[in-house]
Amino acid sequence: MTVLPGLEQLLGDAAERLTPAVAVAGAGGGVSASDRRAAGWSLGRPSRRWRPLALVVLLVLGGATAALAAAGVFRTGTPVGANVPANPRVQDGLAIGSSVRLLPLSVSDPGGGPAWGLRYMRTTRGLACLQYGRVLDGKIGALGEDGAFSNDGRFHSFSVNYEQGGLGSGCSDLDTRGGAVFNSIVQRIPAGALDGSCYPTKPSPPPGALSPPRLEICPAGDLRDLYFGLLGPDAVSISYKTAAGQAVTERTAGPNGAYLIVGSPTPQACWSVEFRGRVYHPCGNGGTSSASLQSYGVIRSVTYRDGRTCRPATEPSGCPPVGYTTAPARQFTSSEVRAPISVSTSLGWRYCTNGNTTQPCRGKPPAGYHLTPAAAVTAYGRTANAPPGGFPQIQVAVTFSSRVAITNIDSAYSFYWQLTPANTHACQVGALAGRYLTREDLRAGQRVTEQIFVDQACPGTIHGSITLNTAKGPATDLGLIGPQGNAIPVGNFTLRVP
Amino acid sequence: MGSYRAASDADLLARSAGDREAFTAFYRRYERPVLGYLVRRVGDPQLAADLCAETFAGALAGAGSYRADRDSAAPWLFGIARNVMGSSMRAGRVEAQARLRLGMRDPLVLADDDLERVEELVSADPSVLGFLADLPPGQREAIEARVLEELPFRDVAERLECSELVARQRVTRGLSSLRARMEDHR
Repeated sequence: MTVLPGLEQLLGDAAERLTPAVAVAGAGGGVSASDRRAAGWSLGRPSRRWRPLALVVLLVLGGATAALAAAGVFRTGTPVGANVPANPRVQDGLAIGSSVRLLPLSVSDPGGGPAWGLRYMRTTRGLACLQYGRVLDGKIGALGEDGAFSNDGRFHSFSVNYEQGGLGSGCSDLDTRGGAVFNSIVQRIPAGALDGSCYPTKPSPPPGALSPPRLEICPAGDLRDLYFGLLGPDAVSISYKTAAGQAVTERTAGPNGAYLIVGSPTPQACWSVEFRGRVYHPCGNGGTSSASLQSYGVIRSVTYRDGRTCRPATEPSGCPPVGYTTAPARQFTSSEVRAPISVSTSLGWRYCTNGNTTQPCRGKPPAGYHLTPAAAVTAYGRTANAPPGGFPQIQVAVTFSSRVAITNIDSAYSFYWQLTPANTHACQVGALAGRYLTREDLRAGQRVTEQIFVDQACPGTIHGSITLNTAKGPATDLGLIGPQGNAIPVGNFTLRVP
Repeated sequence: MGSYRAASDADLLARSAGDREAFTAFYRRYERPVLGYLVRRVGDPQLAADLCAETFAGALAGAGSYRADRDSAAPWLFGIARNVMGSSMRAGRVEAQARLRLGMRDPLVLADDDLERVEELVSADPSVLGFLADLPPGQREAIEARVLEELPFRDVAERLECSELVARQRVTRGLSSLRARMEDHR
């Protein structure tokens, strides 16, 4: 008998649902959306919901949000600026101004207030992306509630370069015709639409060991699940089931078949653990994005221009992308990319960063750098026990020269490393393994450095490898580290940590 | 299931998509070492079970990309477990992306018996861990890899960068030392 027969059953069911030709990208690690949200947990004031008075005014004026805004019912607050690097050649790139447009979608929120909507844009690194949020007066943004914007009750518009959610938010490679296909789900975000403004549920890990400081829990009624994406040019409508069980069919919007569904969180859409009569939702406010459309217990069907209908619940891997013509990926040979790798180490207590580079530093940070809090360079959440200034850590710098140019999001170098500790019980901080993607354009001959931080008190051996990964396809660049990707070895490295 | 008992890890993973028995055989092969590894690291059976679920979901999701460059998939699987543990601890909650992407939405119901079985995986006298920490690094590392992670000696040797013979010697000597120290302790 296995230790967890229930898990064996669930995994067997999942294996059965998979088809041999379909695998899932991005498994086994990588950066999650929650990593980027972690910095937002520091709220203390009570939530302010839309008051009955505001709802009455809404009814009287027939929900004309622009008129309400003009009348001062919805005041606007400070816009939300860009949160992506101001560099068109890194990460997802920057929005191309001429491509930005608010899609003709308007989805009411169960709690009232401005409708939800989507904004479409292409980026300088070859992605098509969607921004989600509340829409007021032709702008998309978030509301000052549930701890967001000090609960000021105002509407705050988003910059076109404000990205919610990170990986798992809505982007896709463009196809040969400039089209895109992806499907995203964002779970348990506050109704005000600012992701991470408060935490949706208590995490299952033991409090104190893993919980972020000053945890604020959203009331369950203030949480929403969002399903949105681009179904492709041939999709004309999508049908779904509301929380009350009502079947709804909506037409898609725009040339790429955009859709948006907003609802209260459903247990079906979230992984849950039941223990001693209590149900835990360790998936928290996670998000995911894929090329195929899943049901999540909510989406019933998609209808295409030729009358065909796909029901994701009855398809083994959901509804496949339709109307997407994958552009050919760049092909490299090993002899073209193989390069010598150098490894160096340094020890530090304090770290300084300039956004791209983190290095140990003493005293005043060098020009252009600022001091990084210890929490940012410790990985196990044990900052409560950190000595003043943080844990002493060894910084390992792995460097090589890129022999080929990287000009788009469809190629990136992947660093994979694994520390085999001599004594696992001595390891206090720092990860034991990691995978990083360069996610930036590179010139041929440009030097590339990746930094690894390991606990000084955790000696062992680091084994690592670098590959050049290329991929092209719908639903983000996650394929770069998954089976869709083509990985060409650059070289391996080994380092014994003293 | 019987036909898969002798199959290699690579064969099981290659067949996992669409073949529940293949992945179940893989799961049964590694459930105890992975759970044991996780519960020792996090000290909480419920949390370990949740991390274990995400680890095997990650393995299933990534089975198509597994490259059979060695006999055992254990290093690859433990790499996933370390990644899941690390990213979950950074995020402050257990990641569930692999499970979501696989459509695993049904709850994992954990009964008291389940958790007791997880706890049994670390039911050894806790002082053993203390004695283990006192061993010379080579012996300690060898025992952790062989006894705690249940790696084959070939993988232990590769990790320790020594011959298989030396790895066996280190495990044997380390266990002898542990036994002697525990007897002295009593």
